[in-house]
Amino acid sequence: MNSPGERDEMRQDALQEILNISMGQAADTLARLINERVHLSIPKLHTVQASSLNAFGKRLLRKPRGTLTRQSFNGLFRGEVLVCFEQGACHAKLANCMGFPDEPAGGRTSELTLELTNLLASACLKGVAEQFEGSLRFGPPSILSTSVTVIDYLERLKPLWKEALFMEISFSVDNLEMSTDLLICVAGQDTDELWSGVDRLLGLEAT
Amino acid sequence: MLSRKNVIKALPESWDVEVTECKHGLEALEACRAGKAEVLFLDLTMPIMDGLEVLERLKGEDLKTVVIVISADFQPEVQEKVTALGALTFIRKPVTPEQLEGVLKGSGLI
Repeated sequence: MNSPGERDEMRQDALQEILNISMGQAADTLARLINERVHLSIPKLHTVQASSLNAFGKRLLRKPRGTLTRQSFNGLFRGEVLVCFEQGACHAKLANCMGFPDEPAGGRTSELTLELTNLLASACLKGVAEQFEGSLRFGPPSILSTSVTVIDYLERLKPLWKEALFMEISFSVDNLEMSTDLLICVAGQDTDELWSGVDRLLGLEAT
Repeated sequence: MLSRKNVIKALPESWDVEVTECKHGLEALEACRAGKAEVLFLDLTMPIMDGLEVLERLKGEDLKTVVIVISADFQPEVQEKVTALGALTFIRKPVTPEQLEGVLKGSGLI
């Protein structure tokens, strides 16, 4: 019998490994699309109280600032993916790889950013859902801001959550000067389904 | 931790070996230097020192450990790189006992 502390550690470790496998799939999808090596960070988990958002900002691997997008999902569990495109990627090459006819400018850049959000969010979470033998449905992606930080955005949403689980992953592609941070956010009240899935994979009995 | 446990669980029961677990690449490299690893099952995404650096160091120090890479990062360029750095083979996570047995048999390790 494991102590509650050991059980939590096992769950966190298992979720990190589930994400690692899923991110590998997402990186491969992106790498094949753009024909470039994609570098991945080790997935990091953060359980955050809304009252301590600033401390969370300090714990993030990087301090993302750039174009921030979001895409919600539901099904097996529900939450939201936040994507921050930190640096200006080489849009011409990206656009070309994704089937855009010309170098995007203005509206086209927005369209490409949304396409990339959709690609990354669905590729990352598809692997998670597969490992849980379930499925997820995605809402349309949207651009939140080109100037607001993740922490600023979460600050605005404070009335809607007290505690949440954040799964942090960073992608980068050297040749495209592309550096992207992805946060999968699950509000405290919705984490039970996620942890139940982890427990099933670990063979842990329900408490 | 789960990753290591999955690999240990997938090892053939009949394979009479002593297993040393390492939390990151540097520990793995030190285990190889200490002669504790004839065969190394190596993840690529690790803290402190990643798997590619471990492979580079093993090659640079001419250590004769047989390395089987087991990783979630299976991009073609990554697979080519680990092979060029001397890994015996690449297995995509999650590994199954059948896969591991096939690789170990195929390479004459069992």
